[in-house]
Order: sequence, then structure tokens, then C-alpha cells
Amino acid sequence: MASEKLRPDKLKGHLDLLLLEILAEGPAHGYAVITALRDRTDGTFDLPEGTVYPALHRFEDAGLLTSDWDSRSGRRRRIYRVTPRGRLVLADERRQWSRFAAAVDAVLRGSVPAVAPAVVAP
Amino acid sequence: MSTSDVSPVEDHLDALLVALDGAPRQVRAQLAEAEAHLWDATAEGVAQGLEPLEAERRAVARFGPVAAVAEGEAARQRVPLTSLGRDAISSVLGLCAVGGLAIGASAVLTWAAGAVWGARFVATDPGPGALTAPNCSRWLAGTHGVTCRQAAIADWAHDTVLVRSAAGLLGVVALVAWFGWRRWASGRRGRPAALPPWLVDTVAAVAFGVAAVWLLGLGADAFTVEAGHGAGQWLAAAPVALVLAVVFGLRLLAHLRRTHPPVWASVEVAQT
Repeated sequence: MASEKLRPDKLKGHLDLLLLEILAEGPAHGYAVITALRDRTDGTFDLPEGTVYPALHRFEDAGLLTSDWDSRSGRRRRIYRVTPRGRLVLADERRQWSRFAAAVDAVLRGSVPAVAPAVVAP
Repeated sequence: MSTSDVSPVEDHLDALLVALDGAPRQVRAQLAEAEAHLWDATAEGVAQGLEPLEAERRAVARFGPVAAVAEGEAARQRVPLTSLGRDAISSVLGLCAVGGLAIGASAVLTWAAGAVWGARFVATDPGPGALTAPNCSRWLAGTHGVTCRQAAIADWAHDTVLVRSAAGLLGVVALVAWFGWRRWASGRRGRPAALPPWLVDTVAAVAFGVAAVWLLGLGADAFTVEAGHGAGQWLAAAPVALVLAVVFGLRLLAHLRRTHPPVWASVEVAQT
């Protein structure tokens, strides 16, 4: 069963990390990347799938990915691979995400007592 | 692929083809990717038990609006403002260098014109109002056997050459700055060429062309109104501006002639 979906803007800034992470596991075409993203997040991100392609092309422009065309299955597909530079960027993105998530988590955990209603003396 | 006339996937691909902007090969590649995606998604839907048409509709809905994809691709291809700024600064420095050096070159011609045809050819005749006692004492200081008017003309001719020489020095400074800037900017990673190569040539050709005509007009005016007094200061600068206008004009022409014809033109040629 699909979990509650999040708006695409919640993914803003983090899509790069997710796409690179999926592609770091092996070469894949766009649809496979999107399917993997959907399956792993249980459809959490309600992302228009077509908008992933400009992101992949942007990574290729930046030298984080390379691509080749494959037509063995009878349909032309562009296969993306992470470059060594892409792996460096991915490692950096992972570190940043860990710090970000840990910081947010720490605040959220620490906020539980803070939101309890304060006892005000009459 | 659905054989029916009604195909949401084909309609979506048609709309995408119209919306995408870019080089033909790039657009074809983007369209091929989208096509593979949409038919893969349709096949997945059919495998899950959907009717083909319904599977196509779901694939299209998941793919998202054409405008979002086209805007994403357009944003990716948009030249960054930083690149535009770097190119603009480089172009302005280059033009300042050429302009300054041109004025410096006109200083040499002005000096030569004064040496050959006299200071009156280079400097305008001072009106009677300028020949006051304090001015005359300043102009006549260190001179012998000349009138105040002659001394004033010699001083103004000298000032004209001096000011233009100073502009030439500023041109050298701008040239050094331009070289330094270009060296720094070329070292920036992933820097695309932001400004079209013909833009600077167009600006320079127009600017120097207008300047040449204007200077020639001032020179002609000095001949008709001032009996040639001071005409040399304009006529010495006009050839420099004219030469630069021609040089930049030829560069512009070369750029325009190098421009490739549209792709459809070569296709037509190949078919005939």
C-alpha cells in the first residue's frame, strides 16, 4: 500500500542526492531510476516523472553522469552512469544530508517537552 | 504501442515536441527518452491489468505536464547570470582598451598634424573673451616673441595631445586588466560562452563608425565656420575611428558569413 504522498516541493534540494544514490548502484535508464525511486519510497514523493529527465541532463552537463544509448530491447534508451566526480559529489551530499537530518531530528526530539502546555499560575 | 487512433502517449509526445526548445539533435534525444519512458510505463500498466488506453492515460498523468518538462529543460540550458556578467565585463574592458588606445593613437596623429601644419590646425582659435590678462600671462610664461593668441593656441594644442596621450595610457591599463580578467575567467570550471561572438563586433563597429562620421563632421564644420582652425584635432582622430570601424565591421561580416544555415535547409539540399 502506498504511503501518504508528499508534495514535490518537499523534495526540492534533495532530488539530486536520491538520483545519484540510485545511479551509484549501477547504470540505469531514466524509467528504471524513477521506478526505483518510487518503489523505495513506497510512492511517497508525488513527483511528475518527466521532471526527472532535466535533472539527469543537468547532472550530465555538470560531469556527474555520462550516458550512452542502448537499443538492444528494441526501444532506444539512454543509460546513465555515475562518473568518479559524481561519486565525490554524492559522498559530499550524503555527509550534508546526514548532518541536516541529525540536526532536524535533534530539534524535533528535543521539542517534545517544549510544546507541552506551560503551567501558568493563576 | 497502441494501434488505435486515440493515443494519449502519442498526443503527449506531439505536445512535448512542440514545447521543447533547443538544437534538433538534443530535442530528438529528449523526445526519444520521453517516448521510451511513456511506453515502458504503459507496458507496466498493462502488465498490472489495465486496458491499454487506460495504461497510456496513467503513464501520461505520471509523466506530468509538458510545460513542467519543457521548463525544466529550458532552465537547464539557460545561461547563468554569472557567465553573462563575466563576459560582459570582459567585453567592456576590451572595448575600453581599444577605445583608449585609439584615442592614444589619435594623440600621435594630432601631434604630427600640429608639427606639419601648425598649432592653429589642431587648436581652435580662442575668442577675444579668453584673452584676458591673467590667461595671457599664464600662456606667455616661458615663451618669447609670440602674441597671447599664438601662445593660447600652442597651449591648447599641447593640452589636446596631452589629454589624448593620457587616454591612451588608460587604454593600456584597460588592456592589461582585460588580459588578466580573461585569464582568470578562462580558468573557471564549466564556463559557457555566454555572449554571442558577433555582439562585441557589432557594438564596436557601430560605435567607431558613428564616431568617425561625427569627427569628420566636426572637422568639416571647423573648415567652413572657423576657416580650418582646430580642424586637425577632429581630422586626426577620424581616421583611427574609421579604421577600427572597418576592422570590426569585417570581423562582424566574417561572423555572419560563418553562421550555419538552418538544419531544414541542409535537409532540403540533401534531398534534391
